[in-house]
Amino acid sequence: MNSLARFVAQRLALLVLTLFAVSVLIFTITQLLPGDVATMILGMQATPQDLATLRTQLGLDQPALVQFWRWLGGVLHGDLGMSTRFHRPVVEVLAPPLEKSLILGLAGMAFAVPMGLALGLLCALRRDSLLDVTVSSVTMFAAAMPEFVTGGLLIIVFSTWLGWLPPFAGTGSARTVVQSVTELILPVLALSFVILAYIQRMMRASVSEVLDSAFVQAALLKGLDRRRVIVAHVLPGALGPTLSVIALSIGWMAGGLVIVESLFGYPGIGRMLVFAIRNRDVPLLQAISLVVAAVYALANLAADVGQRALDPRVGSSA
Amino acid sequence: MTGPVASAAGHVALDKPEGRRWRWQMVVPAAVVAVYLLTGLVGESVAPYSATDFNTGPPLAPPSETHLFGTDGFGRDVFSRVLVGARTILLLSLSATLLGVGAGCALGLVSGYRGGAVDETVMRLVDVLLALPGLLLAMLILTSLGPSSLNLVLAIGFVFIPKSARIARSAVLPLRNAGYVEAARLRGAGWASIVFAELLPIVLPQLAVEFCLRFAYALLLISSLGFLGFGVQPPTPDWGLMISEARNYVTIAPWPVLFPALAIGLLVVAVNALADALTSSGERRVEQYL
Repeated sequence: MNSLARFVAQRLALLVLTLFAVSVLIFTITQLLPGDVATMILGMQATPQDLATLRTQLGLDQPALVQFWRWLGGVLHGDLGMSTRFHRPVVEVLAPPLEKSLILGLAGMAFAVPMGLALGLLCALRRDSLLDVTVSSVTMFAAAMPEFVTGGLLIIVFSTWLGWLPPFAGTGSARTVVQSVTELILPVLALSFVILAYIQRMMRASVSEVLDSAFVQAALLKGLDRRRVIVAHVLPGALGPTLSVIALSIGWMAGGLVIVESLFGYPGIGRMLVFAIRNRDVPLLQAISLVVAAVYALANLAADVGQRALDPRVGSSA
Repeated sequence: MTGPVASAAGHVALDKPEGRRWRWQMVVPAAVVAVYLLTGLVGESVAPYSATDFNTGPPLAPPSETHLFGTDGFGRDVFSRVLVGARTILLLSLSATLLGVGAGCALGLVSGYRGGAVDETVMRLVDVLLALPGLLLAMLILTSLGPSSLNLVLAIGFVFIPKSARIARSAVLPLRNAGYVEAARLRGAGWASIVFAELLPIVLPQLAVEFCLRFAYALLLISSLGFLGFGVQPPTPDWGLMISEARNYVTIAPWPVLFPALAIGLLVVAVNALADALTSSGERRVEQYL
């Protein structure tokens, strides 16, 4: 357990370093953005004096390095700057869409993870059965499909043709709880299709591998109950590799959210990102990128720790 | 009549499905991809209408004999736009993949062979680039470069570099001290010659699979960026862009969304199935792709 604690501490230190490097990267890229922030805020009619005053106020006349330290210092104090478009603190602007995206993302994970694990396990236990062949070929196709294609086809089938589900989500037209839940069905499906497919494929592969291993064969031949062998031996061994795919899925989801939210008009962080880019809202853009990178890094960390806790052999050589 | 003939027939029966399955898995997706490539080559000349002309028919006309896939909100012929759009996405994806996988593999091979500080530096940089999801990184780069086809290729290529570098590096690591590498070193060959003349040919099959997978991913990324409006700019017909343009009236007229979506879907599935048939161990791809 001590070594696990040290491992977590090491990885946390690495995480801080990575996030620092990512913030350098984000800052560099956003510095290259065309357009003058001061003009963006004050509009085209602003006098040169006004522009100069604002630049001094915002520190835009300082060298890039100074600006970066100032920004980073602010971030560390929970101050993400002022949105140039909304003229409000970024933290304030970002809170509602972040909550919206969390709902969508968590719903997607809540659907994709258990379904993916269950289907993967089922397919591995009945390898080459009709069920396995069907599910595995569907997921092979699903894993390759862009979210806006899946989502577009879902909208056509369930909104245009069948008329069962609304083609937009989160636009404020939902009056009741039931309505706001039903309008989430299509976005959640579109968002989780790819992830479900990956988790199913990884789970199927790792369960198959453990099932074929000598210690499971020995346990079965010894006459142990098959169900107990699966729960006590197969699952812990197979979950480790699957965990890392789940963590990668969270990063994938960040991109998926941008697409799905744009497709369904859902007011989350992904659409806010597109908005920030379109309107050159640099502080907002920096904040969203940093949030996404942080979530992604934390998910990876959690997967590594989980994998290590499940299988002490992993990383013991390092 | 029974003995040898039956056993020979048995052999045939045993061997044939195996061989046939392998062939089908390869041939069907390859044929689909070939049709797409052909469409990319001749699409513009066989299209019944101009892909960019407005009012080739009434707006939002449903599929009919004159407009096979119907028309969009501007009265443009969806069938012609889908045909012409094939070239856009194939050309962009191919060049982005060539650039990204080429540069990434070169970097990974050199880094893996040289080891030490070079390797350490390259791999830490790779870690940082991988800390941002691919789509987000591509969007950020495209925003600072400005939207154009060339920049799209550059951005996707750049996004591909870290993963490809990792794959190439791990392919070359076990070969670093192989006999023939040692021999080349003793002969006095420089690292560049060892990497590209001795190691590259050996790991090429692995890199070919990587190329195929990245190509499928490039299709996904480029069509997604097109959908978000960061890729190909109007009026060039692009499947992703077509879907986002027609999205708002999808409940009245689904065809301008349906046909480009099917076009992308079938292509991506075929390329993936092809990559799958090439690897034969489909599961290994899981981590590479995400």
